Amino acid sequence: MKNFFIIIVAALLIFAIGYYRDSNTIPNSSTISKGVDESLSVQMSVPSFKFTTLNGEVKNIQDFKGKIIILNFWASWCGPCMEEFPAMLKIIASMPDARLVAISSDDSTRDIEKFLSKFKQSKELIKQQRILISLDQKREISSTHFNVLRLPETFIVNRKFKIIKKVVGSGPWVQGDIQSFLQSL
Amino acid sequence: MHNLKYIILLIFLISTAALANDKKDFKHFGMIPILSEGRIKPLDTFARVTLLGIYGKSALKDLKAIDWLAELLFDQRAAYHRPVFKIRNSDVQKALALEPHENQIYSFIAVSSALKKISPLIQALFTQDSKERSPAQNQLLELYMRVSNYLEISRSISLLVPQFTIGDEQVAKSLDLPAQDRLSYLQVIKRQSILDRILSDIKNKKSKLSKESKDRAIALSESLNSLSGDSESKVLRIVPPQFEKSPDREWVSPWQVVISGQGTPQTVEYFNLWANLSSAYFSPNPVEFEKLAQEVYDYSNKMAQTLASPTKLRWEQLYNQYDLFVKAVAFYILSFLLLCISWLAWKGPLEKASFVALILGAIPHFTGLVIRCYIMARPPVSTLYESIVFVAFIAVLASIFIEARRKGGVGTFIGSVIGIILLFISFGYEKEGDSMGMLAAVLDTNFWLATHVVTITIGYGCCFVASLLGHIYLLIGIFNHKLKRTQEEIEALSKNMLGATLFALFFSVLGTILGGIWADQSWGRFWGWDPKENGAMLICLWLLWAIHGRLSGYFKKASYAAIMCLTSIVVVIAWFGVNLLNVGLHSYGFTESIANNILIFTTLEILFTAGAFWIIQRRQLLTKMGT
Repeated sequence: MKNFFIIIVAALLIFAIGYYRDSNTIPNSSTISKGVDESLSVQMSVPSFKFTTLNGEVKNIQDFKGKIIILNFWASWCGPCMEEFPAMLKIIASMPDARLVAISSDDSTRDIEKFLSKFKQSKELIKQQRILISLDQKREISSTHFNVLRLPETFIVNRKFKIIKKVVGSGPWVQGDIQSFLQSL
Repeated sequence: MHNLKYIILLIFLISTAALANDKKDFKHFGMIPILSEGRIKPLDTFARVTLLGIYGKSALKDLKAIDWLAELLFDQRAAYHRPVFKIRNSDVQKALALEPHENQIYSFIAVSSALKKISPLIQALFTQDSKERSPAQNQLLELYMRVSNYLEISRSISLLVPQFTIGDEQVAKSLDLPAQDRLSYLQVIKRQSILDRILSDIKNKKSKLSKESKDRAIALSESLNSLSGDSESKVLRIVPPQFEKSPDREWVSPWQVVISGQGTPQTVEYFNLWANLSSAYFSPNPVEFEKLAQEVYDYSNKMAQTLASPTKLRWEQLYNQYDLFVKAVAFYILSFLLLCISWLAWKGPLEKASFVALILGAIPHFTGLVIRCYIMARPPVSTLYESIVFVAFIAVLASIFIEARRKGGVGTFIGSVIGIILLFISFGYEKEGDSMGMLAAVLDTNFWLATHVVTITIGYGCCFVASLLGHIYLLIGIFNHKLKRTQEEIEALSKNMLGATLFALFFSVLGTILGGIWADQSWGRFWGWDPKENGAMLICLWLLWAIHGRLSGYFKKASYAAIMCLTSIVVVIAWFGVNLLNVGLHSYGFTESIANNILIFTTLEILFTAGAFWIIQRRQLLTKMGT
């Protein structure tokens, strides 16, 4: 009989400890972070690649280390790309420290120029080398370095030269959120 | 010291079997994490469960599951010809116009081309209600699903595997790609716009290419198009989520990465490693494959960060590899056989040896349970399969205690019999897929699983021990004129039976009350007259009735033993039977075939108990009359 009581007491003790430990681990719904889908859970280094701008200059992406880089993959024939471009221009215009590196999958520079002619503001920014546009007809940069097959897709690179965010499709560039996010970098 | 010899011998038997198994090249490949059925598991488990679904067993005759999966991913030419689809029903074989095989196993090529021929029938069957279809028709559809699943898995990494050779200098030059190298879909699709232009030139008769080059360009474009059909392939979720944690961000398949815009420099690197691995599959040097598999494994763990635990992946692979419960059952059978022989000769040493074998069986049994707890981070009692394995262990443990205290082989007998029967039943349930599957939300709290379910199942285990003791008591009652057991031995048996009943009652009542508290917390009521709740109460009432009758002297020892025999029926009905009603919140393991088994079991138990009891009563009556 004595043994029986010992077993009962031991069992109750185990339950008590279990309950105490378990109640500590029950997740509190309010602590689950909201999270922005596009933010990367690991900061990734930007792979090194070269690109040729519209005026024939060869640049290396590493030349822009220390700046905020918006690395945009686009094409003039792509509707959502056209949609987001003006908003991107605005952001670049308002942030002297940011650079837009726009890698186009168009067939020729003529297509790109035709596209740009619709946005007068872009001329000045391109001249100041705050916007850099490059033709990647063979998709060597988009596909080989970033697995990008569909357009538009955009990577945001911080000053430490790490990719911290990816925006798929026509991005929320007009909204205040992304602007303040970029300002905060 | 005598026992030590047996232990050493038996451990040696286990370890040599393990060494023989260890000669494999797929160690790291089998450990690569994958999200499947809501759980991150090693590829090894994924391969086993998939093969189980397709072939009906988790290994082929001459090939382990992981080797089979590697072949399916990297070398479809061989895989598609390998017989893996088991078709038992001759009506299905006839419907598919398949030649009857001796072993009824067919290759993907045979089955898929046969299915293609009757595709209108399949489509018509899909629109029909499942109740209107004949069993053969249902099996045909099920086969169709198996074939689709097989095909989908085989195409999972088709975008990474180098498989295109352009073969024409002119086309290659226009695309700026090497003409003779083997290229992957991802390498060729980059030039899609250029290829489109070449094709439109051909169409508009502006092309300056030779006829042969034109044909090459058209063929290339067509094979690209046909391959892009694989983009629906979502089963092989081997790419860990890369974006900030959010509940609906899941692991994705390689095709999903490029289709849903999840490509990053990381996926580029990961895909390159997979492409290298696929080339290394054909390398004559097996070390190379293992080396690259390790690179893939390391990289995927790096990407998965804390989501996948390398140690858990390794443990799960080992768990798969060693089949601990099979080892346990082997020892239980050995123990039972030794015990049987001990009744004929060498009673003392063989009885001891059988007890040692029982303990040796309990070791892998316990280890298996512990590993499952560790991998799933929850008590091992959340599915019917797990509860059977657990109850078997509790019964074995209780028997070991009984044997250790009162020698004589009774404990060993009970432990080995329950261990063998329950583990064999559990093997049947293992066939239902991943035995470590995810839980219904209500079950997914560790505290209540650890208390209510564990307590209830310990109660079940003790009930079985008490019931088997009852059987033994009755058997001794019948055959004692031959067995010549002393009165003390019989008395001790009766005491053990009462002790086991008390334990069973304690755990059943406590478990039932805890269940009520859990139900109050999660469903908002303490008691709802749910079938399972009624079953639990039935056990409690039955035991209370028996114990009160026994203590008050209303039941004599033989009657009490007969009641204990019938306890097993009550437990089986509470444990399996209520699931057959298919109502209530506890229906966690519905199976059709089980109804017959329960019926047979119940009938046999009643016949045995009634028969034995009648014989004993009659004999007592005759003895009385004689005196």
